[in-house]
Amino acid sequence: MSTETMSVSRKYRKRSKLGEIWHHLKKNKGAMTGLGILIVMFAVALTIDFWLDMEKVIGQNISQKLQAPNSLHWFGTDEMGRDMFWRVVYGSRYSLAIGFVAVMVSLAVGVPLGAVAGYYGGKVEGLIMRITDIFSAIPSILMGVVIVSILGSSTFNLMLAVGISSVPNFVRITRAAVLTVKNEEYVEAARALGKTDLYIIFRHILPNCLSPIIVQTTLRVASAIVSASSLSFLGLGIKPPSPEWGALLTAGKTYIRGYSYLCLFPGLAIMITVLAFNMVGDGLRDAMDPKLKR
Amino acid sequence: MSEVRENEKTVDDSLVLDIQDLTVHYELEDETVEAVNHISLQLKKKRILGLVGETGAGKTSTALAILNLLPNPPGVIKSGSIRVCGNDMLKLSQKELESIRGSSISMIFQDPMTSLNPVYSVGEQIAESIELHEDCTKAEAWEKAEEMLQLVGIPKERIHEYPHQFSGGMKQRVVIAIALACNPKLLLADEPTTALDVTIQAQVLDMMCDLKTKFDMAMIFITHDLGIVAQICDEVAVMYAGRIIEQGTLREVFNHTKHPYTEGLFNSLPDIENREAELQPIQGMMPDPTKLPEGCAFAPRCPYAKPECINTPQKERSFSETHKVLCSAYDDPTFRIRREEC
Amino acid sequence: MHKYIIKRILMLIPVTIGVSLLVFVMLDLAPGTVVDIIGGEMTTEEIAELNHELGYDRSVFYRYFIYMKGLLHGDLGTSYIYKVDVWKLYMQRLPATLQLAGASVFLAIVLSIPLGIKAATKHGGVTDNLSMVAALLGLSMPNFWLGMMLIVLFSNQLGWLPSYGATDGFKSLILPAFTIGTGLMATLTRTTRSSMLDVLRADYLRTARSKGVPEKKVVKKHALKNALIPIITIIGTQLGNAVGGAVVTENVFAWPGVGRLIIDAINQRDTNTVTGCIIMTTVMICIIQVVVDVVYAFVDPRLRAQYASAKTRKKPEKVQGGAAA
Repeated sequence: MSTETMSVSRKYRKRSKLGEIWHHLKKNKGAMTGLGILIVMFAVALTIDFWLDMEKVIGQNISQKLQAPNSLHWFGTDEMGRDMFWRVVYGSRYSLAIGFVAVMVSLAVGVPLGAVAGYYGGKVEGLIMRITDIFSAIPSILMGVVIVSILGSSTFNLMLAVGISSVPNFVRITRAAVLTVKNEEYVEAARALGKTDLYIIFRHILPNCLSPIIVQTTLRVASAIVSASSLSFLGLGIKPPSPEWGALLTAGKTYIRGYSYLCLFPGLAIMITVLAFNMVGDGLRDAMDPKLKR
Repeated sequence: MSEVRENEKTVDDSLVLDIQDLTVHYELEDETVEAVNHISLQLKKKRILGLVGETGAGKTSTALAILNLLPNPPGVIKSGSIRVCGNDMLKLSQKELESIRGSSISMIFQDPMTSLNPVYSVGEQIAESIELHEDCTKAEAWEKAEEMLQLVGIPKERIHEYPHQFSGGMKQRVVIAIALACNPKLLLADEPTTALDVTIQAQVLDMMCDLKTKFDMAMIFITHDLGIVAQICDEVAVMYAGRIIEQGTLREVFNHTKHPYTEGLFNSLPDIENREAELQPIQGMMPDPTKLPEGCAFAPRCPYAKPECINTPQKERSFSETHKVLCSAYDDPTFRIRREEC
Repeated sequence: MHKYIIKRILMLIPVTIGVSLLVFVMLDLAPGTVVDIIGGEMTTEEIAELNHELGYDRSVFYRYFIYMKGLLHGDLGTSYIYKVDVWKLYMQRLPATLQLAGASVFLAIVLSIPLGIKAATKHGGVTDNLSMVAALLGLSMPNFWLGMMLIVLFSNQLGWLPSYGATDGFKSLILPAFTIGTGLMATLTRTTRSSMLDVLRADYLRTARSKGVPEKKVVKKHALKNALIPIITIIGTQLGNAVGGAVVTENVFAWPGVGRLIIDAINQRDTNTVTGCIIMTTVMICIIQVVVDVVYAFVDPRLRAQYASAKTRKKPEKVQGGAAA
């Protein structure tokens, strides 16, 4: 009964859908913290070339090598005497870029496939879903390894590899979402008006499937960052001495006995980034799904 | 449990239920829903009380408060006392409450589709209640569960079946069997027939009346269907915006209606004798339960309302020992509502 | 029920065909062949002969065809590198992988389910908030980094536990199991909590309370059994992932499991080994799925009815676990 009365009172306050989501998101401390972290990271990653002397990131100074964290070198220095703090800060560029481009790749491939499968059903759906099954039968990290082997290791190929290996996820999510809206009356109406399938999919169906896709996108950026650094760690993808976080960890692994701070900080950086994305993703999910409001 | 009852022997023995000044609020993050406001209600043995009102009037909250089962948070009982067979439901320990629920008092919920646990067989769900409250073995409990099933008109062979194998009406019968399994003194029936087809409604209703006589229990029948009230109830209480605005015997409330809202309810019923007559719905909407006025919450919709109605707190007025009305209009001794004039 | 299981197993056939074709084609697209790796000091003639023997002078489809012919007779092929049956190779590595998978999933089940239940029943309380923060942290930690940090702490600093290999029995299992277990625990705690939260609002719990069922029993009997389906789904998925080999963690701890075998085989273009191992992984995952489905039927009578009528099963909704590496 309380929910009934609540919905009555809610009718009186009208907000746009976006405003409603923002209203709920704002109240979620975790999501706002995550968002704050991400905004700072983006600001740094986008502008770093303008204010940071690259010498600080790549400049070697053997006399200063392997120093423990101190007031001059906050995160210590590596085996070449490079300052770990600036290397980790600079590394945010790689990780954020990889996370985003990778997820864009999986979105661009996965969403249309999922939408087509869900909308048309029948043989088309069967074919797409079976291929998806086959792709997801191979663990995604192995898929990444194979794709990097095929394409050769470079930053862009790493993005592609990580992106392609999470395509099945987006196909499934999109298909499931499309299935729930495809029989709605407004879709029937559009069909009755003789609109083309393409128009209906893009104008009527996908906009109503956005919530799960947006949530999944945020969470997938997080896991893409982890996958990419895992691949780098396995020696595929970005190689040391590039200051990508996974590569920093690979380089630090050699010195892990005695100089464990070399591994500590890049890992923390990955964790905080991923944590921020996860918090925003969780917050978005709670804000967008009225069923989950609690 | 029997000792608890003895300690409270001072209370009138014939009262199964005695609610005094009950107030229930739902305290949400940024607002408070005043669901039930200062209601008092008594019910004697073997009587049926119809609790009438529109959706959101506070009927279900009242029933849940009687069981002390309000979802908390956000539900809070702000004031009042509730006695069931002499036990003060708001002061008992959790354990004592558990022993009373299901044995002295039980409840039937509105939606039979969701009120049965889908992963346990109906037999198990009936027998569980018996095992909890009666000193018996598992086998005896199941035996009694079989009896209960037959009593509500379900062949006992179906005892091992699961809720999804039953239709809506059958499920409600199972819910009734669970509620009656331990011969409660008081049954709270929260719109038990609303979710059912009309033909099934009549069957279930007939069965409930039969069982009520058989088990000698009192019943609160929550509904918004005045037809059902006329059919089965001895007493009626009409709720609006969390208050009981009129209560009395069936005859008093139906034949000597005093409150303008009750009158409005009758006017919005179709007239069997005069099918041409237009329905007269009550204009407007229920007030926002988070912002109830000081005075009469019905005033904005009331055809008799005076400007002061909305600000002056109403006084309860008795027209007989049982007939009580909450309306300031009767401050004017000549006031009559239209229904009474003709 | 058995009809349904047979159907599930028959579904393996197209997936196996597809997966092996995919592996063959992809490894063919990758530059270099196994011949480059093992043929380092061979003469040109010897290399040509080897190429002919392994079918590298023909198209990838020819090799695939030969492989599938073998597979029909239950032959997973021979590793080019180790010159051993892939089946033997796989079976050598499987116990270590199963140990690790079993230990980490066990850890997750034992710790997460009670924690998730507590968090849900005391929603908004201290346990809830703490466990959700911990779960989010656990979910966000890269596996390999956690492993490295555990090594630093427990092997290098404290010297309690071995940092690599599987030679030290139970002791060497602890760190890798915790490394993988952390992510699983995080996901499982979140799943248990959210599934319980959904169920705790159900009307039938109100019915149970109204008939006087003690609160503890309401949670453990009435609510938990209804909340189990998503929990079992996640456990199944996690077990499936884990038997595929925890590639990165195995790498950190030099754990002799299937994951490392496959990675090495990919790098050496040992197509037979990669294909054979992935087919076996698919089979294992299928077995786990069937077991999970049987457990579903035990838990939920509605699903039991669905299997009996042999209709296609509606998959319980997957709970999104966030960033699991």
